[in-house]
Parts: sequence; C-alpha cells; structure tokens
Amino acid sequence: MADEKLVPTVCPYCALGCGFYIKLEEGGTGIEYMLDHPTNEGALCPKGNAALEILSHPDRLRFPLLRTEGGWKRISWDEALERLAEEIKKTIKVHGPGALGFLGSAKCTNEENYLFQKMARLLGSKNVDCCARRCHSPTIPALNRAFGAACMTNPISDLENSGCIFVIGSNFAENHPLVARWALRAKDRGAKIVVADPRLTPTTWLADLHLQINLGTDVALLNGMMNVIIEEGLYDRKFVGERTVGFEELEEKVRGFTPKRAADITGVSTGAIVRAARIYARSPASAIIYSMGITQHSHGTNNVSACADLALICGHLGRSGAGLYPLRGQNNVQGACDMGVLADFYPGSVSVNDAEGIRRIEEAWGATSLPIGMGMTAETMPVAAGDGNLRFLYVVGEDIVNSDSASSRGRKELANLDFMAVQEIFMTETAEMADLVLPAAAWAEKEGSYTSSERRVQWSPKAIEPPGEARSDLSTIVRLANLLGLPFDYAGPEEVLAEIGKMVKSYAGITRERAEGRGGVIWPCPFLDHPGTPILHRDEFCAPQGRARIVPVDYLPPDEERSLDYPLLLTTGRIGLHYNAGSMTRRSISLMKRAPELFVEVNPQDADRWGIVDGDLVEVKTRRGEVWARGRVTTRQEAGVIFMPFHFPQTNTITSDVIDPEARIPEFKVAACRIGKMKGV
Amino acid sequence: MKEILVRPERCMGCRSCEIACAVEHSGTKSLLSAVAEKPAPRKRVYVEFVPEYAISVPMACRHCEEAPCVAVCPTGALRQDEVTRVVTHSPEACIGCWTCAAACNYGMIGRDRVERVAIKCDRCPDLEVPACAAACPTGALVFKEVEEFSEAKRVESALKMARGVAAGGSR
Amino acid sequence: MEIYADSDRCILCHACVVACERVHGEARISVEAVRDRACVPVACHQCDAAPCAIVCPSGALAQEASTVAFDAEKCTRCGLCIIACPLGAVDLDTVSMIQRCDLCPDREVPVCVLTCPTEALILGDRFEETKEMRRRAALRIAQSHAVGRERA
Repeated sequence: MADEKLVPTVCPYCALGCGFYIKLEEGGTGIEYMLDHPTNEGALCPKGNAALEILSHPDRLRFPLLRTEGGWKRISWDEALERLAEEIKKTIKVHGPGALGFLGSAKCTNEENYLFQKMARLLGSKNVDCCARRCHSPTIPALNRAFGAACMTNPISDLENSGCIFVIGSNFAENHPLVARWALRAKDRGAKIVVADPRLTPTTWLADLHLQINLGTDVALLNGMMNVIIEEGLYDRKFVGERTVGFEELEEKVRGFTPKRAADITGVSTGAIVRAARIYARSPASAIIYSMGITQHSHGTNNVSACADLALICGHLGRSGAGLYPLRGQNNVQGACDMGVLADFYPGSVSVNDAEGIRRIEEAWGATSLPIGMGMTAETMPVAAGDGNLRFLYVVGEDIVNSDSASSRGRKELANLDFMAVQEIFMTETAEMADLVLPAAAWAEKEGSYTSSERRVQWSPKAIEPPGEARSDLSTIVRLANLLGLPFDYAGPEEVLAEIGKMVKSYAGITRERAEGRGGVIWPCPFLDHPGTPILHRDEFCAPQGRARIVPVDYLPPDEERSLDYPLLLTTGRIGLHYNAGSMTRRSISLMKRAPELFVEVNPQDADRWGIVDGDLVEVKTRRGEVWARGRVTTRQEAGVIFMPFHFPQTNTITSDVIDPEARIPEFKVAACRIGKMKGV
Repeated sequence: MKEILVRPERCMGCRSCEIACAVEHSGTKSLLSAVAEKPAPRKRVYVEFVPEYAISVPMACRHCEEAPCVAVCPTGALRQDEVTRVVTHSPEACIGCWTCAAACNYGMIGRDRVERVAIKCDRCPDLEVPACAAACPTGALVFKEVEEFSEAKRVESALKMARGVAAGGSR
Repeated sequence: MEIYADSDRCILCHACVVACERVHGEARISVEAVRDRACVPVACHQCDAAPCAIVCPSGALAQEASTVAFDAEKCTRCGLCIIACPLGAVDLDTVSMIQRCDLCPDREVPVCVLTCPTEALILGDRFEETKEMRRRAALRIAQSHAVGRERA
C-alpha cells in the first residue's frame, strides 16, 4: 500500500539482535515480521511483539527536568546542558577528575557508547563502566585468558548443526526464546540437549537430560564431567596437544573430582554426571550455552573458566556446531564492551594498564595524559559515593537503583553525591534520585549500530520522531562535550562509526552501508571487503602462540549458606514476559496484563512448613532486608530453594552484595533467606 | 492381553499388512472387490521406510495404556476399553477437530476426507488375529502377549549366546 | 488449513498471544501451562465437522472445505457457538462480534505462526504433520535397532 512504509529495526530487548520492521501507516505504527533475518527468521518473542508499546507511553520523559526545592522544574536544553557542564567543571576543579563517575548503557548504540567513554576519559576520569558489570563481567577475564577473545564463538543459528547442546545456568527458552528455535532444529536432527539448572524451566522441558544441581555448584559438576572425560579417554588428544596449553594441570586438578564427589556436592546422581559427560564428549560437535546462572556468583570467573576448559579438552571449538555461547543480556552489551565502556578496558580491548596501547589511543584522539589504571566499576561507584570519593555521577540509560544488588544500601549511598545526572526515556527509580534528568530518544527514534551477542553489527535507522524535546544520546553527548571544550565534531553516527573502525581493529571493515545490509556484519571484520567472521578460533586462538589456555579451577561454595536463621536459599532470574529492571516491560500493557506483579516460587514442602498457600502474600527476608511478594507454590524448584524474578524493584534490595574478586560481579544468584506469610493480609 | 508388536529387523517392506488392513476395513472384505469400492477402503497401519538406517518399520496403533488421543478427545468419540485397553473410534461423535492427531506421538490417526472424521486401528474386532499381523509373511508384525514376545526374543538371544559359547568351546 | 500446535516445542513464551492481541485487539489464542511441566497453545482447530457451524442458527459460521468461515454481518451474538465449541476457542467480545481465530485472512500466514520463536505453531495440513510424527517414531525405533546392528 502506498500509505505504508516499512523501516527495518533491531529489537531493543535482549542481545540476540532479532530484526523486524516498524510499519508506519496512517494513524500509527505497527510491527511487520522480517522473514529473511538470519537470526530470527521473522519470529519474535512476546517482548519483541510489544516493543512499540513503550514508544508512545504517556510516561515518556519529554523535557529536561531540574530538581528544585519545589519539585521537578522544566528547563530548556541549553540551560540543562550548561548546568551539567558547569557541575562537571566544578567537580574537576574542587575534587579532581577522579571524583567523576560515568555509567554508560548497554542499550545505547555503539556510537553513543564510544563517544561517552571518550568524553569521560578525555576529561581525565577512569571511572567508566556499564551494566555489563552485572551480567557478563566474569566472561571477560575468563575467556580473554582462555581464548584471547571474550565473546560468543559461533552464531546462534549454527546451534542447528550441533550434536549436543549443553546448557548450564541459562534459561534461554524464557530469556532468549529465539535460541530455542535453533536448539529444537538440532534436536530434530537427533542432537541431545543436556540442561544443568537448579530449577525446572521451559528450557529443561526441551532437555533429554536435566541435571537439577544445587545452587552454585557448577564448578563441581563441570570438574566431575571433565574427570569422567579424561578417565575414559574421551578428550580430544590432537586438539589438546596442538592448540592448548595447561592440560596437565587440569588433569591433576580434576583427578580427585570423581563423579561420586561431584554427585555429593551437586546433588545429581553419579550416573547422570557420567551420562552428561559422555554425551557432550562423544558428539561430533557440541556447544555449551551459559548465562547468568554461571556468571552471577562470587566465583563467577571460575565458573566461566570451567566451561571454557570443558570445551577445550573436548576440542569442541572453532568448528560449525561446536563453540561456547555466553548469551548476553542487553541489545548492545557486546558493543558497549567493544567500545570500552568498562572500567578495565579502553576501546578495542586495550587494557587500562597497557601504557603502550593507551599511548596509541592518545595519539589518535589528540590527547595527552589519558588516565591509566583500573577505574571504579558499576558496583564500586555507589560505595565510593557513600565514602565521598565520588562526587558526580552521569548515568545514561540505566536503572542502577533497581538492578544493583542489595540496592537499598546503594540508594542511601547515591544520595550522598553532590550531583547526579540521568539521561533516560522514563522516570526510573534512579532518575527520581537525580538532580538533573535529560530526556532521551528510544531506539526507534534515533539511528546507530548495535552489536548483538553473536557479534553481529547491525544498523538501526530512525523510524519515528522522539516525543517532546527528547533527543538522541549522541547529540546530547556531543553538545555537552563541546560545552566542556572537547573538540567533538561529528556530522552523524556514521562518522563516529568510521572513527570506531580506526580504533577497534575488529570493526575496521564495518561501515554504515555494510551494517545496513540484512543481518549486518559479524566482527572480526578487519578490512572493507572482509566478509565477517561468524566462527571464531578456526585455526588459532588470539592468545600467545595461537594456543588456548586451560585454566583449572577449584570448586568454591556460594558465599551464603543455609543457617538456622535463614534456612532457605533465594535465587533470582528472569521470566519470559519481562526484561531486566522492568522500566520498559512494566510499562507495556500487553506484558503487564500477563505478569502483573512480583512473585516468589516456593516448593510445596517449604510452603507447608511455613504455612503458605498459593496466592498468599509472602515475606522474604535476607540479611539485607525484607520484601513481600505473591507466593506461588510450585515444584519448579526443589525444597530449600525459592525463586524470585528481578523485574520488580523489591527483589534486588535483598540480594547478596558479595562480589567475585576478579570480575567484581555480585552474587545475585544465591542469598540465604527465610519466608513467612505476611501478617494481617 | 495380546498386542500388535513389531520386529523391524524382520520387515522387508512388502506392505502386505497395509493391503490386508485396507481389505479388512472395506465393505466387501475381499481384495478383488475392495479395489473397486467407492470410496476406496483405507488402511490403518503404515510401513515407514527410514532412509537414514535403511530399515522399514511397520507402525500400528500402540493402543497405549493411558492413550493420549482418548484423553484429549473433546467429544468422547475416542474411547478405551477398560479391560482390553483397545482404543476405538465412533465416527458419529467425531467433529474432525484433530486434537487426537496432535496428541498421538506415533502419527497413528488418519483422516477420512469424505466423511470428515478420524480413522484409526480398531484391532480388527471381528478377527482372532488382526489382519495385518496375520498377513505378515516374515513375522515382523506379531500378535502376542508382551511376556510371550519378550520370551521369544530371550530365547533367540540365548540361542545366539549358546552358539557363541559352543564355538568358543570347540576352539 | 489449520494452525497446528506442537506442544513438545512450546516454551510458554506467550509470543503468539501478544501478537494475536496486537493484531485483533483481543487474543484468540491462549497458552496454558500444565502443572509447570508442559504447555499447550490452544486456538480454533477449524474442525472438519465443526459443532459451532452446526449450531449456528443464522449461518454466520459456515463449514468450508478446510476452515470454518465467519460472516460478522449475519452474527446475532446469540452465543450458541460458545456453548457448542468443546475447545473453548470461541469467545464473546463485549463490544463487537464473537472472537474466534480467523487465520488472519489478509495475510498468507497468521501472525501467531510467524512470531512463534520455536516453530511450535505451524500452518498447514495436520496430516502432513501426522506423517512427520510417524517418521520420527519410526526413526527412533530404527535408531535403536541400527545401534544394535552396528555394535553386533
């Protein structure tokens, strides 16, 4: 039809990078399915189907708002940016650039993230980080050490060619539903699906073998499986000999990890461990899928290393159907990490301790003394705010108050800041604490590139105008930088992408035109005619001598254990109808209708013991506080474990704040707790 | 209770069972006249050739103990005998919603396009031995008690082992 | 033609329901979880001898070759079809007409089928699918025998 226009776009929710069209027609917008997209073949999960609902939501921020004594005051953009620039200058003058904190967003484009960290670092602050800290930060050191590249090795559609899909700590059927499409295709062709998960989930429904392990015992399971594989000689001798180092240490380490010992720790039968090990090792090409169940632990880095070791000893890497799949969370979390919005990396994975690498960046940016050394992370910024070491915080597109662990403490600490600016599409809980709120354009209202979990860089064009005076983050950052005297001169995001190509080697061949093509380009793409690299590590690893490093790890129990006072363990996760802190999905009518409130899943045995009936309001208490939620009595988890999704503000106020020593990720997945029926309800 | 049991290793894909089934469920019950009947008689047993392994498998309704097709039938057209567990189908009650076809893991529900109802194996109520099993020339389809069937297989494998032992002993 | 649901593939994601609601204003397909162990999408089965068409006194619902057609102009909203449908696939919309899957007539493939992440919903002839199920069952049986043969 003539009055209809289809604009291709990339889904703003999870990291799979599904494509669809926004249909512009008289009287509104609609969704049309993109049948030739390589990842989703047109299919969309419920969140994708509801994606447009948030764009026209009445809660959208439309004007810059300044906190005054009489409440929020609408101000002009000029006033807002001048005020922000003034606050930054004042903080630098009084406290030095080390008192500035910058939190980027894994939901913004590559170009916006790149300029955001460039601005922060040119101002002299090393405190740049993003929400990747709370999802896959363990993946980065662990896989960098193992393979020299911290990302998914194969594209999602390649799962179809697997003979065995081993899933550990991922409920992809709910959180990345399109992965299930390819896993089921593999199953149709005879592949076996093995799922290790403490809970019974829609993912375990697809499994041929479900290992219902105890919370946080992943390393024990993986070491036990490796013990079987080595003892039975099922490992790939040729691969281990030619392409890895460190096998002997691993052999030594897992020798004591007999299936019996692993079974005692994990609570899974010995037979199941042996069977899982054999299925994984014997299949011609096996893939490992892991996610937050592996990373969000006080020993998350160890967990990831153990996953990488398993893939390495069996040689299930660098081939079609094999590989390691860390399923990322946000639509551009891979991109934000590539752009260096991390306290430990400059763009292109240049370590903040690599003086030589930083010198090259200085040359390219025309700067002199860029900061060296680790900055504050998303987790330490609130702490530093509480201590008075951080005075100013600029948050783009992130609801840290809801997504931080033990968040009620974080809220107090953030209140201690001199000034906090939040750039958002909605008035989130974090924005409500800010001194200045800047309205941002949502994904369909601006253009730029996004990098999906499978390293696919796709251009998302602008489809509609932002509401009110909301602006793209790119234009806001550029204008602010100019006010601060930084020479940011970009005609548009394509010019920023061109600069990114010069700084980040794997993006060198990616231009706007190429990213606009259907399915974009999969990095590494080192030059213009390069077709992209869907499968990594084919011939060699990016590590010294091209050899991967096997890093043996010990099993460590989760930080909190059951005690008399706190006899249950609380674990958290996502549900299919909501997304992360929920600032988007909780404003989506068709999703809220189906999942309206926070719930807590309790096993019938525990429910009996504490007198809870399905539908009761249940109080959940941990050492950090208590919240209430609607009780659901279900056998989805075994007795002794309860589950809460973290899409509602309450959950993360009580999660554990113990962090992984290396990746600094909090242990969201295990907290000792107790429950009771709410009194008086 | 006797069941229709399958020994795929003996099936040579001759499809005698399919023909016998269609004839038994025809109006005249004779091959010569059945071929001319309108509508053409329909079979309820299927020989599936599996190219991956080059094996033919004769597939007949398993008359499951807890038959999913009966459980899902919204009108009670599919019923299960309390004692024999034979699943039968009454076309009068069938509304052609094909929920049974979705429920059956073996794909044993057929469709009568003229009458717009389901057709499935009724284990030949008029015969002592169902037509398919009676027609099978190689013993790939047998009508036996499960115990009897397993015992026959045990005897066969015992025989194989005995042969092996004897061969070893003579060496 | 009908929408065929494979409960083995359904992951309870509700994409079909949200998509249907988006297009029709009210969802005409539902996904029901069964004791947290499995789930089944339910929509109109386009019965071959449809009770809703048989009871419809005004001829609004009419049996066709492979679907049941609905003519809103003839519908008197008497609700007999709701009583007759054994699957609960007909609903009365409070403002307009009866709500029943119409297979998205202005599209080649209904939206629920397009959006299903796991291909659990299939538009097609159910008996092609039945054949596929037979093939898979035969494959499983053959696999076990072939393993025996290889090892022997």
